[in-house]
Amino acid sequence: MQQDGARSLFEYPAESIFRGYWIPPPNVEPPMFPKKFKDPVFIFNGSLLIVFIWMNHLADRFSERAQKFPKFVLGIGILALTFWMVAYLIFPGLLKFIEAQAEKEEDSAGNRSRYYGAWLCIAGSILMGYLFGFIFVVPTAFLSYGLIPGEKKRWISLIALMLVMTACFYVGFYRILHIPVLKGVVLDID
Amino acid sequence: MVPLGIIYQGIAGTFTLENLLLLLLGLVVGVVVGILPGVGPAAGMVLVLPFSVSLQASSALILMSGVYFASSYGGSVAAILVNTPGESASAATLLDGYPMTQRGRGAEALGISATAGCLGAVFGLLVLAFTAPLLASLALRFGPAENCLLALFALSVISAIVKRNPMKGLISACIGLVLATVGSDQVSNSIRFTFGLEPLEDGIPFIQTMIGLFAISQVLTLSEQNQTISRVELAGSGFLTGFKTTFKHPFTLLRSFIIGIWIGALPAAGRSTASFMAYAEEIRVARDKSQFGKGNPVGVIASEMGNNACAMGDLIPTLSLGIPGSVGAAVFLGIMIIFGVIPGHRVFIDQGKTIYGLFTAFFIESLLILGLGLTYAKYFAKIAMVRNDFIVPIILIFSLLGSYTIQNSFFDLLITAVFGALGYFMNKHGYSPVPLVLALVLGPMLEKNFQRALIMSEGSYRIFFHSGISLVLVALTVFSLGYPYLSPLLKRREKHSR
Repeated sequence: MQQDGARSLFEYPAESIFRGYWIPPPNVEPPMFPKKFKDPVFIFNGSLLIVFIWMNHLADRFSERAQKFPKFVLGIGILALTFWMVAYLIFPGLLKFIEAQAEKEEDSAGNRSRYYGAWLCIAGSILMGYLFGFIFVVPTAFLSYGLIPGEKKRWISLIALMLVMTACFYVGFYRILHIPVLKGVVLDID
Repeated sequence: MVPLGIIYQGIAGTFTLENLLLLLLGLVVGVVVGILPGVGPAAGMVLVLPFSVSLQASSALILMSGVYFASSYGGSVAAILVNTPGESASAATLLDGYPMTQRGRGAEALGISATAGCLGAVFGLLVLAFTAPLLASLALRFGPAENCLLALFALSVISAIVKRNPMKGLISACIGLVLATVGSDQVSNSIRFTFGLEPLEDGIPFIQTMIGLFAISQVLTLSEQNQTISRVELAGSGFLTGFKTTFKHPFTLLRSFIIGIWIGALPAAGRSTASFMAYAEEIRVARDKSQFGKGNPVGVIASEMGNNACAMGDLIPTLSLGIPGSVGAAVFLGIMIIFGVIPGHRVFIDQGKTIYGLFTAFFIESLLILGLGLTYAKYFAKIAMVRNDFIVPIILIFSLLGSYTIQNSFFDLLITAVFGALGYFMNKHGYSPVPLVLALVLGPMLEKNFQRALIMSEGSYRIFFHSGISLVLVALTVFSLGYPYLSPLLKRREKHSR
């Protein structure tokens, strides 16, 4: 077998099919299927492929003119995703070639608890805004961020900034621009 | 040819105390609305409109021109410092602008942005003032098929270059194009893919999506990593370094200017297309492509020059033909009509005093932006060193505000949160959200021209291969998608043959 990278992309899988067992190309990890299926990128692309196929089926219900462009775009997406899935599962050398030029992502292992804390902060702010009016997003965001993922230092400056911003929002958006920031499901001061 | 007397009257009319103060006010409002994600020049001009009804036409348009022009710089400030473009046209700037901030060179990046922006605007004005009708007539040779292919080409180029992973870029662009089909079809008015949700009948809201993809994902990333935006101490390089760096790349300035002015002259192509195409062109001609996306000043120069040249180019079809080149230009056109300035090939003569007053105002604004940057860039850049406890809630609040104020709807906040999760995932796993955003911007234009072209050709796809311009665009699209894979193969073959 040739050591040339360009020819090995097709030669190894073809040889594998002929012999009935996998012959891994040099410098490419053999496919460990259970691990491969847990890769988030595989799950994302696989889910996207299923969604695109389903949307392509839904598009049949639209008028002929209305379905042309969505089907065109969905077709390109399905092709691209199928190509990626095949490369990922069956031709890892091909995938390596495709992504050879890609930027290497920085290995930034973040703090998961802070990540979930940030989500709590976002969700809490939106919920408070929905219930009591948008202006309540301001104090909720500052306090929840300070309490949950924040460093829990300098409380006085954090609270002072929170009060100033809330006041500015009230004057600027409610009084001057008449944006309904005090209108929520539970509280409606407008 | 416009009489010199009219030009002189227009220029002189701008230099009254009232007009200069209005210009300054427009500039300040423009920078603020540009910085706030989701507000943008269109919303900024609309906010200021009630305060301008009592003014004369020329004074009101000078005020609006300040908002229209300065919002571009404001959008770039947000893109460079907090990785959140204030408007879609600034999305290309963050590709290299934000990495510069992370390396402590935020002030330099702001300097490049202001300088390239000023140069783009000044030279764009000269082109606009003297060649607008000619460029407009050339732009009319682009029909629906050509406009469709141009948008497709822009998407293919961006997909291929961001993060240098064309496959993931293409997938990201496809997601954006599919999302752009949600809602009512512009030609046949059919409702598509809304799943019974009424708020989606107008389509996936673009600004809320952009805020989610960039701002909310940035909030999550900053929270998770618990570090300031700048990962190093602020470098000594400041605004003046950025000013000088800009002039060290004259060919970049020239190429980006030509791309910006031409894209601007094409109706409905938009500044985001111009800034991305200028950026892509610089990558294409660069010897060392690996430096892009890591804080390369050339990337910021190209995107800013393309963006600001296009801002002036946008006014070519707007003034000459009454066809706006972008959303901001559309609002500007509406405001012009309200004040009795009717666009057309005679506007330069019939309303010459107002039009040339407007051009003078743009010229002064471009110089003032440079001065503003010189004075305040180092303070703006310090945002990158602010503790997370302060900066993250502020980014979060202004992002949610930007989403909420468009339609006063909490559904928009849900959209923003969902796209925030998507943006975070995409950034973590090598997908760039930039092609998705560009696809959302260009998708409606692409589809509208696609359908129009098919109507004109009675359903035949041959219209996309009919004219010389179409064939060139098709070839360029295929080339831009295939080149990233061909290039290493060709290099390998060359190496083996030696």
